[in-house]
Amino acid sequence: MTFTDWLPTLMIFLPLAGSLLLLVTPKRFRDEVAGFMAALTLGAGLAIWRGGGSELFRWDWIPPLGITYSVQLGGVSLALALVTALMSFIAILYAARRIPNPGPMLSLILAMETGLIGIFAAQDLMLFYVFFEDALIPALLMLAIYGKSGRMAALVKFAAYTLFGSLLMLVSIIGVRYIGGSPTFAMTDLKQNLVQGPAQTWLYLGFLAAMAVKLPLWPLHAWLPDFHEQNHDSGIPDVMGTLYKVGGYGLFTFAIPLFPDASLELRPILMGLAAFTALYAAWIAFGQTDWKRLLAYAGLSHMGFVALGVFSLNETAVIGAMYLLAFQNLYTGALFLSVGMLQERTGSLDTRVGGVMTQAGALGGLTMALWFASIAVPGMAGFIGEFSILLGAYQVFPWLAFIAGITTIAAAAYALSAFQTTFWQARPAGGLRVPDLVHTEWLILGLPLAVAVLFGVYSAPALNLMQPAVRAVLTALGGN
Amino acid sequence: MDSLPLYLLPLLPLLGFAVLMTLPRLLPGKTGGWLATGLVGAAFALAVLRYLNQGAPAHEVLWTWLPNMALNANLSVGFWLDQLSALMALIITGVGFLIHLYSISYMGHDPKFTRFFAFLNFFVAMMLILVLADSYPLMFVGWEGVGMASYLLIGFWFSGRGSGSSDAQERAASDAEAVSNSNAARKAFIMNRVGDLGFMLGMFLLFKLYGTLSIPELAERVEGAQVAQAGIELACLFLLVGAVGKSGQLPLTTWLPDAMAGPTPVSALIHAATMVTAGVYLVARSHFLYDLAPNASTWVAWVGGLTALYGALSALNQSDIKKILAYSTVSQLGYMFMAVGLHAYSAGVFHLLTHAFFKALLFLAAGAVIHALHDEQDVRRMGGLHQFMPFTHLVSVAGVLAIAGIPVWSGFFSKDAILAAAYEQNLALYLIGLGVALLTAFYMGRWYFLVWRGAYRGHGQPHEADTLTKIPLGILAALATLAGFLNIPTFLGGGHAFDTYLGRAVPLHAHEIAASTEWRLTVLAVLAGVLGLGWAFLAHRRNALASGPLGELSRNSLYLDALYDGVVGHPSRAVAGGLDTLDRATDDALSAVGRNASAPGGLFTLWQSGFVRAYAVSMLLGTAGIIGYWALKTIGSGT
Repeated sequence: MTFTDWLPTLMIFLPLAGSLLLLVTPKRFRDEVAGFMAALTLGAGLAIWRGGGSELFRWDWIPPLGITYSVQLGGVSLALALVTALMSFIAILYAARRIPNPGPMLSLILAMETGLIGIFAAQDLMLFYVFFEDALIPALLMLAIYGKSGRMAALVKFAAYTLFGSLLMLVSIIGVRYIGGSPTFAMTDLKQNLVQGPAQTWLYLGFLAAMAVKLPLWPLHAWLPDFHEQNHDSGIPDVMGTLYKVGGYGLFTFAIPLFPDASLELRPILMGLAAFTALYAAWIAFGQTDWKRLLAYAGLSHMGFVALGVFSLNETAVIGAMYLLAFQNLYTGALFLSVGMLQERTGSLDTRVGGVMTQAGALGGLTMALWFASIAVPGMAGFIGEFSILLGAYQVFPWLAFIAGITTIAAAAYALSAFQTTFWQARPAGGLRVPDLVHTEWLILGLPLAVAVLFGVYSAPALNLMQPAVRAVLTALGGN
Repeated sequence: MDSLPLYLLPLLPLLGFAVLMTLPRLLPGKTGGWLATGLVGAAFALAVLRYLNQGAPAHEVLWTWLPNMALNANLSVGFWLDQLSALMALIITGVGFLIHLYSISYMGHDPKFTRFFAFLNFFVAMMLILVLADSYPLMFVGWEGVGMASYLLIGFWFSGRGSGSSDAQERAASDAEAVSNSNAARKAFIMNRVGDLGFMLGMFLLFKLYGTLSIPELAERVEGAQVAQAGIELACLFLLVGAVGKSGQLPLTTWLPDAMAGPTPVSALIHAATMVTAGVYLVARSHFLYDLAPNASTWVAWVGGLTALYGALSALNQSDIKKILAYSTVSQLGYMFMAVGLHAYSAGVFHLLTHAFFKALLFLAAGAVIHALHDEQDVRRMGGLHQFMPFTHLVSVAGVLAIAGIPVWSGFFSKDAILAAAYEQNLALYLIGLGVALLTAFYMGRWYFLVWRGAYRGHGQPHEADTLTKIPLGILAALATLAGFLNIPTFLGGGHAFDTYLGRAVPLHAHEIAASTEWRLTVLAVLAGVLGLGWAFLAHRRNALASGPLGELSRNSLYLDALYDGVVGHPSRAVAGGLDTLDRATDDALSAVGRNASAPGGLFTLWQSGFVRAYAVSMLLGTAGIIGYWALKTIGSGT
């Protein structure tokens, strides 16, 4: 066992250690400690990346039940873990700045980061389930502690949807192992013992239920707008919530290898649902007047794209889906934070404030650039994702690609309309003076944008990570 | 010197953009403007150097970019310089440089002076990426990039120009301007996105047919590939949708006149000389596909012909000095589409070149007038300006003569080539083209007489433009006058120098018209121009120019805008509202399912009443029930 083998484990549990450490840290050092732990986690991730990804680390956790602790960070999972670490770091930066006495918030962010990185690293279905549920608790607590007046309703809805999906997934997980006859829940064993026939389809549907809630996919998305609307104005829990949209990843890593026939069989229906979700959400976003609801639907629309890519089983599209899934966190997350900054200055989340850019040029400019990233203007990371998804999906079902493609028009409509009525046009007479960005706020919006531009222009590092991983997964389909 | 890499061309203005955006405080006064102008000038010098040392097409590959989109490989970012892209690069950097220079004076008093030049530099960089791209996706980067630049610049005065005013009336006017400027910018971006979807679908289909999106690879593969004809036709039609969006052709044309909300140099550079010609460039660049797709090409030509007519009819009765020119641009772009649709790529690109000169000239002259009259744009409140602004008047005359197709000005040569190609292939299109030539001469004559001749109808004292403004105007006037001699047709004793040059990149289709016919066509075209100008002159003498022909129909540009708003704009807003309601209803329905499922639980809570006697009764009843069951079971089994 060398040190590098421990790096993924270190990356997973460092934030949790930090979270616990915060409980005993004196008040005045909490920001620094949280930031340090988050940075350390990011550093561990970068170290893994430098080594070209980690090997599979396996340890029998609960032998009688066949549950192993198998973790690996390489390829797609490493990219997602890195983005998660980066955005958690950014969220901590902003929490330290925005929230008075931020101890609990910082602690929850770090705790959630552990769950999220664990989800990406897990190579054992039961372990995946554990982390999947583990990340839910901080998310619920953030909503409960920091949410707005309607938070309890939103919380119950969120928890009900997620837990309902998870239970079906748990049944599937157990089914996959026992019907397939695998000795453990580790992916390496499960892949050797695939379930065949109609049972595979049923198990896939169970697994799908949880992932569709988490993606989310129409019609299981109803928790999402309320979740974002009722969360704290600063947008920090929303950043973590965006990172928590791991459905696309779960489908990619677990569903395609374990349910290859079912994936192929259900492909038309699922792609149709995904394309519909993308367009439907974008259209609804066009009608929103609350920034958070708008961003929620915009995020839902992106997830429709991700799902379209994953379900298409086309190599280019799947690479695009993973690319989009990873990098949309940057700009969707940063947009939530920019909305938080807007709210801090104007006291409103309404999209009709007007003229903010005349007084806060940098906030307006960076928000605009982030919106351009979000609507997949080429040269930004989102474009590589969306374009590859649409191109790949077109090779499979041209009409569905066309329907999803209309989303790009609707996206421009919702993004620019809301931007215009908030940041452009005239500042109403007598409106509050809006101060521009100060101190770390520059970094909080600028860093994600810079990374999004970097990987939109120079995609080779990310592609080198993802392409082999996607190829490896798709070989399970046998030449499709 | 051909070792200078191509990527420097877009990189220089891009650097300018980055510096001007991030460090405006280091560039006080007008230094930012000079820096931006200098960088575009340097790019122009580079383009000239590369042009002078041009041999075989240069292909310079930089780094991998998109997964799986080249032949069995990842697609790379790369630049491609052949005669067509070299020419476009010269136009963009050359005209771009002149307009940058002009803007230093024109935007001199604007509080966002440096920001303006940052955006202009960004535009030039993106436009260069567009024309130099070696693959469709990279071209798409420039394609959407110029759309973004266009959005930023149309919306440059997004908060109105009088927002600081304390006068209530001025403030209200400024607020209204803010809304209309912002709306114009947004409309341009969204309508462009409609076109972009077409472009994307075209790329997807091309990839499906040929397995690559790299243009040189495609050009090679198309020759030998066995592909269904319908596939190529459809791909070309998809690309046409993209071209239509960017070039403001029917049916996606209404954003272009609105785009005049931007500062005048922007209208000259983006919405006349360069960006809007990207559609023409796209078709010419994809000539190897359109040559195989006769039906799609016919569509291109007809879209062009009809748009030329639409633009000309709409220009007849406009009263905004820039709107007349905007509709004229729409109409002239229609000519170019007609040419490339008829496979006369060289004629189309030649008109693109001359149009870049004379339309940029006209816009910049209009800008000088607007400045001189303190932001007055209504031609009905102008007139007689030739006394006040002799130099600007002179260059405007050159522009008007060029666009009207009067020999020897450049527009005469380029329009003639297009009409000849149309006559050869499609008589109906030729007649439309000839009619449009007449209308063009009329509305430009109307523009000229209303602005420059007659008595001055406005208030305030107009003043001549300053020297910095005059330099670009003078150079563009010279080019608009003389550029036609680059391509003198054979029957006039010329050598088709331009055609020969461009012929190395795009196929030329040999002329099959007899010299005598050509003479007749030329005379007809010139006659149309002279008649149009004469008609305008007569109307001017009768003082009847202020309201042009076709009245309200032309003023409202054939009511196309109203139609779109009614058919697309309002319904889609309504649908968005409806879907939102529906979404909440879906949510409620699912919640109702949840409530119903949990309702039986409520019954059980009644039981948990907390009274000991109730529990005792329950126990008693339960015990009785169990005993009764055993009893019945025992009796029933008969033992």
